[in-house]
Amino acid sequence: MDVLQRISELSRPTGEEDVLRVRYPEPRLQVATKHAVGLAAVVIVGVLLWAAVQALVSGSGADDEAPLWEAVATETEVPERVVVAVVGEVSHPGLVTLDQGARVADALERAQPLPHADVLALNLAQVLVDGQQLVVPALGAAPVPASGGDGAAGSGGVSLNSASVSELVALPGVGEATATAIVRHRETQGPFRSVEDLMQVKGIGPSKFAALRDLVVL
Amino acid sequence: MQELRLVPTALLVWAAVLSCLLVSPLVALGLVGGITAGCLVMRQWGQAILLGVFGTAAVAVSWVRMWLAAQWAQQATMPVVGVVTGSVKETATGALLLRVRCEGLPTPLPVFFTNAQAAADSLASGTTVSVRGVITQRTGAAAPPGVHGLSVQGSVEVLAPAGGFAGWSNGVKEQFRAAVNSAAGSHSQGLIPGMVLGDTSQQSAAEQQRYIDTGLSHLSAVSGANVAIVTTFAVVVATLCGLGLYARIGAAAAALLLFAVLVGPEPSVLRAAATGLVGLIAVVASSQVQPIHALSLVVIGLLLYDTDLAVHYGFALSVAATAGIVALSPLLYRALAGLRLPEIIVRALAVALAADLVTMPIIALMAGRVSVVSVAANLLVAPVAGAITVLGLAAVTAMLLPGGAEAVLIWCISPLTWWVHTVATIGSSLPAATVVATPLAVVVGYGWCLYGLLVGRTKLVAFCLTCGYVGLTVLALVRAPAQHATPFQGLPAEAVRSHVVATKDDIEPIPAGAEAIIVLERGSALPRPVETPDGIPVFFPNRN
Repeated sequence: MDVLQRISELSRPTGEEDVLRVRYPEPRLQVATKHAVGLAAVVIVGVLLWAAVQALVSGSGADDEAPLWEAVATETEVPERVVVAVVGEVSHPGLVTLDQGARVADALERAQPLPHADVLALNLAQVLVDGQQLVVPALGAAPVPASGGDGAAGSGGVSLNSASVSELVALPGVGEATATAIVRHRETQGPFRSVEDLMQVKGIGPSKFAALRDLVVL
Repeated sequence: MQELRLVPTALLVWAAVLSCLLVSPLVALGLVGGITAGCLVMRQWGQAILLGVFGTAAVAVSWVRMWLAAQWAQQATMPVVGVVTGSVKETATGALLLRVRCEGLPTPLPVFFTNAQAAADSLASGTTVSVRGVITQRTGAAAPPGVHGLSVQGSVEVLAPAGGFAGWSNGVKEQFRAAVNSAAGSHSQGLIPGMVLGDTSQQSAAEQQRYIDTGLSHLSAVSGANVAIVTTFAVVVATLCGLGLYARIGAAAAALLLFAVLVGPEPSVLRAAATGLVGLIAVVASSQVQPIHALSLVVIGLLLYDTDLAVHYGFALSVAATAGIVALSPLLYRALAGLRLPEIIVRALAVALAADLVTMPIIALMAGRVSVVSVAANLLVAPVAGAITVLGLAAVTAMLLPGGAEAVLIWCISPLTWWVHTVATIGSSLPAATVVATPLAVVVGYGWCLYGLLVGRTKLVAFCLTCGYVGLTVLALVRAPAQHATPFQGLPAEAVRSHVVATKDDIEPIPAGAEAIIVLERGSALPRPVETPDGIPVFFPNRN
């Protein structure tokens, strides 16, 4: 069989014919100009295409790099119409309905302040907030305490159930440790059901509670 | 060795890319211009056009890649997200090294980390990871050679496991490891996955060092030899079945595809496929395409495709071994024919000697140590290497098909890998298995051997080599006790993880896990012992 013969050829010891001089063929080093030009054209086109692709890819990559800003604050929904209450020295006291963006002057125009009303006590340019009450005083009357322009509960005391540690520290007699204890009590036992429950917090006794009672709300 | 028309172009492209990466693109352009002018002076118009255009194209491509890497480095922010290529390696200082392919960076980014949480199995090739740490860019002489001198030191977090093809390929490797562990003995458990799929994860560091010491580490790497053996086997089987030319080509292509699919998207698969095809052409089609011509084409193509290959030792070793075998083995065969051994042994010896001759200077350059026993070890292992590759690939295919045929095939491979393991163990335990050598010393030594062989003094050369080996053994045995003395005061006798640098300025950044820092600069002795703010001792052995 061919294979067996080949194997036996390989396993015989090397003989005289294997010691013949090895003659390498004449090397071919010259390249025909036509072939070289053709190959060169292919390479130039290939490299230019590759460079163009790289430029495109890196260019589009740079556009993607614009940072994505996360919206931390969401816009609050404002109603289209605002309803304000105008009371005091006006000829038509009561509720006035206006469009969003209307100002105090527009509300007073509807309510018709009386001749002896002290209109200067109000900021006529203030933008109205839904649910606001405008009190128009008479000339010479005591100044009205500033109407809550925001409509949100600002004054009235520190809220026990929603204040943070830094807000609680502002109370007299309450330091870091006590404020942290109040927050921890709130988290473990649930919200305070009455102001008196504040005495259950470690660090607040009857005397300290008496000092804080008027300054806190639920 | 007749078709040498593309050899100057291949050499110039490699030299141009090397000088572009190591020196500067302008120097590379100058080199290309000088050589083209030389060709014009010698009136070689065709060669001048080829050299000029290919050289300029290679420099342009490398320059663009370096520019892209610099752009990426400027606007890189932490964390860096990328895909892992290759496998996790442990460095000499104990830190782990990972290569991550990032969007916009042309070549992978090395990442050093000591994350104990991220187990090595979860960082398989193809995993998407997020890297957090410090990017350092080294430029100039201290830069690691490559398109960019960037590296990251920090921590790695897995974002998504390997998916698609990479994930499937990792699954195949895991399955094969399990099959080998159940069917083969402990001596083969590291070798079989390595020699078949290039998976060296079951080889301990000591075992890997044994293979390196006996010159057998190329068996466990995905190299052109695997591809050449597999495709040649397919063609031979097709020829025995009496199939025509196109069917044989189809069989070779199918075998190559199967191998590439099973090994997976490794970075070295493209290089292995290209050089393996050169080997296939050399065996079955050397009258149509000359191997040297195919090798030149492969070198040019691969260097234009991946610029970092120009400074990759594995690529240099593959190309040098192929070129050496093609060019030198006829000469060596004739020189060794005087030994009156069976022809097949003389052929194998000629090939092993030719490959060793050309690769030893590169290994001396890479590691500073060369293996003296590598020719003998490779010769002893040559008969089984091909069988292991082919049977192993068949076992992997059988594992993917239903039925338990892979256990039988692995059981057949076991004794062969036992032989390889034994050769490596005995070879590395010899006193003078490796010797410290510089590339110049290797070239001179081997040059004299080659000269002796070519003038016909084969027996004299063999005698001189034996005497030389005996002398080295005696020297190694005599010097062995002295080598255990500690070179530095205050350090334990066993090996210490050290970070070796040339000057004090190169100390930062300190790799994680370093237990000592060794600075090689010269100067006057320091009055007090030195240590870093973290308490790592710094030694100046050349200051005294």
